[in-house]
Amino acid sequence: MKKDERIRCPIHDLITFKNDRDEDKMLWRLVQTRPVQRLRRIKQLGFSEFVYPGATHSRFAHSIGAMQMARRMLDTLYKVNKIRRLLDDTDIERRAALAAALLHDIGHGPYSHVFEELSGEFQPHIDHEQYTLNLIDSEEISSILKEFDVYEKTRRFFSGETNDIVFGSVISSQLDCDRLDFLCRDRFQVGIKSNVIDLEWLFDSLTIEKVEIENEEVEGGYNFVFLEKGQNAAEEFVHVYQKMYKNVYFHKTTRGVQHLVVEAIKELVRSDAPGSGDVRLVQYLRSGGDLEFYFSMDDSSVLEALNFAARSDIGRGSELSRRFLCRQPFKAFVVPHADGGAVPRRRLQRFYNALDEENIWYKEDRISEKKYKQYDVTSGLFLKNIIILKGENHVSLGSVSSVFGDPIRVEVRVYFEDHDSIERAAEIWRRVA
Amino acid sequence: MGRTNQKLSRSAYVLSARIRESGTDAPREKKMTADELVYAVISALPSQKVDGKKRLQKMCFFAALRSGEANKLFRIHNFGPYSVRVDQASEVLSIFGVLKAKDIAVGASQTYVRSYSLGEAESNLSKFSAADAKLIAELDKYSTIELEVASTVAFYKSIEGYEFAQALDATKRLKPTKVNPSTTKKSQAILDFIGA
Repeated sequence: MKKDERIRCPIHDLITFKNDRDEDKMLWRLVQTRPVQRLRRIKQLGFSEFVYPGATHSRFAHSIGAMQMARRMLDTLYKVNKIRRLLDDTDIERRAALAAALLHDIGHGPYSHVFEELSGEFQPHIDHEQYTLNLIDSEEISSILKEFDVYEKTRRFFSGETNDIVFGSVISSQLDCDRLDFLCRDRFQVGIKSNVIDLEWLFDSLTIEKVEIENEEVEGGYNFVFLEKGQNAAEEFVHVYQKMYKNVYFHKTTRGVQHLVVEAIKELVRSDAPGSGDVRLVQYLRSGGDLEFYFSMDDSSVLEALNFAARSDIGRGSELSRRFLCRQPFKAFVVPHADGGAVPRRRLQRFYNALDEENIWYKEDRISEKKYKQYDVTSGLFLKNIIILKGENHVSLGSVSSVFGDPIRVEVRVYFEDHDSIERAAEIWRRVA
Repeated sequence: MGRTNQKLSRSAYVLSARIRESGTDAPREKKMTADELVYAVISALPSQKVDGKKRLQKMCFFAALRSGEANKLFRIHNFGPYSVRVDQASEVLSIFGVLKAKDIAVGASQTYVRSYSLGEAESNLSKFSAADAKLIAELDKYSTIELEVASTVAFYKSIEGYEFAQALDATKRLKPTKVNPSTTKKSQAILDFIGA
């Protein structure tokens, strides 16, 4: 790095890497590595662009953003003397946290939700967190981290619970740098004008403290704690998260596209279509590919498979792929809740039986994939248990705030291939009452 | 991911449990879905209530371990054995009214825990045999952290094939603040009791 470097960002404005600062030299070198550069070719929001055409930002932009978000948090926290007293060597700890923030998504596959479902179908499941750890251990990344004396400390953020690490919350918590960046960035890119988080006020309202919590379901140790003056900032954050979940992350149409793509690729992998063995994604799914193979794939691998299937003659797989190219996703039937608020289970069972009898294809989309942070909001607990300081006591946000109200009502959606099937399904639903 | 028609790949997971008939050595095969596993665990608890998603996960893990099917349902995620299907099942059964879910505030911090109990909606879901129900009731005497540590050790031992000491080391790397002499001793006791 011969001179200062800069990256423009719609969320953080100017992100600088100073030539005379060790942490920046390390971070800049990590940015140039193949695992990080690969993230340019993987979209942050997958198929959300089918609903929000502006949602084309990359995981690369988000990863740089998460790093900068961590930096901004740490810069603000450093102003509070308590942080310095918690640490023997703030520079090393900070450097490790920033590296972890930058690298946190390097294990993601293309179109993550789709890719992981397909991987789970065809080979032993390895989730993206494990791949992240594997890539951190790779020579290209680990050599840089070792050179700057933070390999073990950076790895530690991903290999175990972090409540004993002072900056653990910066990387993994309700308010970690990942969540804050994706909430801000995703909102901006999709074009939603509301749901704005006042970041500066939020950072100014936060501190890190060692918290004793007698509830065994909640991790004690080093935690972000909102100062009492920051209750509004915390509530605003909760509100934004809930809105983004409802409007973006669990959007019906986006899920419809995801299911369509999964089914199309499954058909392709199972087919004997000539030339299918040369399609990269198909090779991977058929062979149980290794890290290098996985790492060589990006969004274009999924698109290649869909284009191939669309041009081939594999029946349903080709039809679904052509539908993808023309944006004709599966359609959702939302199972109505009964008067008491519950979904009638027996009626649902009769409904499925009747669909089977009429040979109508369907796919139940019960609940979002809970392992993705975007869906944590469906558990009301997660945000309720943000810690706030009231007087001298650490208490949960949920116990002092009225912002939570009724929990997010999770829908049971059933996806069908087309409008005719949905209409027929609706008739069947009425019939099986 | 939910359910699809039989003609296409099924996403509902089927769990096989082998239960010994009293007085005979002939095992009886019983298939349980994740929904039934969750329901059976809660039904088997003395209070028919479990306080905590984590606690429920670990109870279900031990039940599945005993039946020999834990390796299909559970994997290490966020530093302990976790089943996405068990998580989904607990929430879906709540949507159906088969379970009742309520967030309750505990302790001085008034932080919340999700409590699941049997709901009012009719259910034809299976329950455990008396022997397996007794196992769950016995596990209920341990704290959540003890179950957490023990289940992680058990995962490494029974599924990954580690010796106990090696499994304990691996668990300590995942949970450095929770593995201590007391939880280690409890883990051994639980594993001996389960037969893992």
